[in-house]
Amino acid sequence: MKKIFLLLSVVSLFIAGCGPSASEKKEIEQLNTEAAKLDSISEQIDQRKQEIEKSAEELENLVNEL
Amino acid sequence: MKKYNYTWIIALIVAFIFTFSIPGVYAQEKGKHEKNKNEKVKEHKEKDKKVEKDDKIKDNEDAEKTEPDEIESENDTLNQQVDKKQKGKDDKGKKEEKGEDRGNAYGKDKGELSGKEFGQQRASEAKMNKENKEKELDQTVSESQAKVNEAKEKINASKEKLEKDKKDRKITEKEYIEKKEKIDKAETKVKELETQIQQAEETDQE
Repeated sequence: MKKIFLLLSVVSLFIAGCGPSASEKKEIEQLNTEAAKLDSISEQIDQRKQEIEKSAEELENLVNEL
Repeated sequence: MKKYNYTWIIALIVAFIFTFSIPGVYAQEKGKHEKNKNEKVKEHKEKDKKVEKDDKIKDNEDAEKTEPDEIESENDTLNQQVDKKQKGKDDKGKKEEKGEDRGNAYGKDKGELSGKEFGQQRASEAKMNKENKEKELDQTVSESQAKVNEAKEKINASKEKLEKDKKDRKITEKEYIEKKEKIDKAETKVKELETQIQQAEETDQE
């Protein structure tokens, strides 16, 4: 009985220890936040690029009409 | 010596193990199951598309016997439509493979990676993507700058010619006004584009 109890205790401790620690969780969260921020910046850059391309095309058309 | 009854402790530990281990296993199994389900649905759809395409081609071939020219063009159109649909589907499939349609599924579908590794990979991918976008923006900015310079030259030449034509009475007042309006529009667009380029350069410096 005592052996079973000890074995189960060890197993349960092992399983409980398998999950990420609080510091690791925080690190993961930071990485995810950083990635989300970078994604948002990329989106803004892409939007700006599209706006410039559109304006350049419009300008080209207007100049061709002259 | 006093004998302890460990049964309740064991039960507690077993409950503890089940509580922490079962949801993880369930989530893994669920993920696998959903993946398999998606694959099956994809296969079915592809089969349906193929059958649909074959049927349409067959129908057209039958009708071809009566009106060859008309049906041939119709057949081509149908083939193009089916190909387009297939192409769209393929693109979507590629996107799914690349993970573009998955969005920011943090903590989901991580494959073999651990939470931290997945986060690091996500962050480095996002960084690379940002760098690529910045490069693309730089290229667009330099191309647009060249267009602006070219447009300015053309506008100036056009302005000079317009004034000269007016002076020489080669054009009517109405024509002059119309052309002037076009030049003004182009000038406004140049200014707009210049502002956008400036803003993009400022963003790049940040």
